[in-house]
Amino acid sequence: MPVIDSSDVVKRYGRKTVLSGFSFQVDAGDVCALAGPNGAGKTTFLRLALGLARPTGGTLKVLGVDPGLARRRINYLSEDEAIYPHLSAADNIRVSVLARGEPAPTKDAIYTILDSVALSHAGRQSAGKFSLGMKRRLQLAMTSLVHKADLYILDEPTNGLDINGLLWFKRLLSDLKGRGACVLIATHALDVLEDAVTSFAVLRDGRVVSRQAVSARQALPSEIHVTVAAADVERLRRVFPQAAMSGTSASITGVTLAELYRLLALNEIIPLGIDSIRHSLSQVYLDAIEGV
Amino acid sequence: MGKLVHAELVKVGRSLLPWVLGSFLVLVDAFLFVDFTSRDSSVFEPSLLPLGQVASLFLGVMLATVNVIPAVLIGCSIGGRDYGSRTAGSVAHWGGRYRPLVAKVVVTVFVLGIVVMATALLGFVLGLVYDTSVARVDFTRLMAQTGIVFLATAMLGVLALTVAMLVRSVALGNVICLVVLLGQMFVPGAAGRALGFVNPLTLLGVFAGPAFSNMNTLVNVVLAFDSDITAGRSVIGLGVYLTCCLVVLGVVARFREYR
Repeated sequence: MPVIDSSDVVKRYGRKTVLSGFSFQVDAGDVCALAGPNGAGKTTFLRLALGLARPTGGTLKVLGVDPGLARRRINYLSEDEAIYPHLSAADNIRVSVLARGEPAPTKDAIYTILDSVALSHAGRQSAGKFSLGMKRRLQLAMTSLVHKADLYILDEPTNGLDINGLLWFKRLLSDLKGRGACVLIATHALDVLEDAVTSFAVLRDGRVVSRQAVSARQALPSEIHVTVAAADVERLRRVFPQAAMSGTSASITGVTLAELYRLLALNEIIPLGIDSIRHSLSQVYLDAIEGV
Repeated sequence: MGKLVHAELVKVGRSLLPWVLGSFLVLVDAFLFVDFTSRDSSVFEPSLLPLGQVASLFLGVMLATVNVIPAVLIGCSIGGRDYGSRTAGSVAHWGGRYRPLVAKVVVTVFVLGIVVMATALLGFVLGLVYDTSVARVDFTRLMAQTGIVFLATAMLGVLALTVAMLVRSVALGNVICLVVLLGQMFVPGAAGRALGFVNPLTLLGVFAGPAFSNMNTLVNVVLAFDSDITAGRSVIGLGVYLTCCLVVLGVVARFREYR
């Protein structure tokens, strides 16, 4: 059963349609990046999945139940700078625990959490005086570390994070994936998270226009350039009729490297050079956006 | 629910507002006390109001004017803070749609209760300094006065919380509440009278008049709480007032969308 199961979801605010026919599934253990231009409907969908807004049409189930009923099994990081600026970092953690209806954390527990986001030195400082990156790390601690969940919904988690913060965040994603949690990340930083996510979806105008598993993408290069001897050019053209030829070089798409080697050997074509090119997620994203 | 109330108390207790307000109220009471006990004061006359009952003076002035300030500021602060700090969505996610709102109402009433109790206690203690005879303090009257001031202040606080929740802003909530509460004094006729019902004091007047009747002995201080509304209608009116606030909060909790 998918952790998030959305079928033809529609969301309108007045006359404005934000999501239309939004169908999308995410499974347990999946770390899925949700990308799209501003206003594509990423945040709206996340809020629907959290039960903070209601769909106008379609069906949406989260962890097998209606959105909002599973909130205790979900951790949510808001896109906004959602911290209490007048409270210290330690008090922000304390409030986030109490507000979930859980017992007040001990000072040691609070500082252990702050230590894991490298903020223990600033535990007593007012959160409003933090830098952007420190605020984001505090927010991540408030939402992702104080409570274990089955589903993590993170809206632009990498905003403001420095290199250390990004590395820590990727380790966190790896830990979550390791224990079978599902993570849904709305992000513009696809390339940054490429090695941390297991799949990604591209949104445009309130619809999912592309949905791919990263593993499948890694197995299937975007493009392979093959250079052969002049005598082999005709045979190469016959074996790969879809290839774009340029002199003794061919640009081939839609085959894996293993399949390419097999076909070359089978047809006794000796490659003089093979160059496998894999487009960045950003390029894939742009192709998906422009291809609509 | 206790944990959510604790969370709200941390948010309120760590902000400057209650402490600034507390200092302001102490200053107001200190001014009243100094003026009241001054030999040159035009209102001083220990035989008219025993100093042991100075708490009545503090509570009476609070009920007549000053309670609007802590009630509106604290109610709006608790109701609108999560929108200002952009944590409203997170709070609804953490605690659900209804429970955080109930916690906010409880904390508003609790904090304003402390403000009223502290005022009564300050008056009682200062009164005893000048008049050590506890026997001269009418405890039944003092409790009735404290209860009425608490009720008026707490209801006004809940109204302010409701307004701030509705408009999703502390500042706008404050402005709307203060404009309406002050506006009743300047709007003539039936409209002004209708606006008057925004202040629970209008409904509590029938009870406040007799409770503060000891203040009538002061010749130069007039605290007019009398009302032409009967006690029965006042009770019904107070019930309607509170129900309206809670219904609006319930509707906000049920239907609010966090964009």
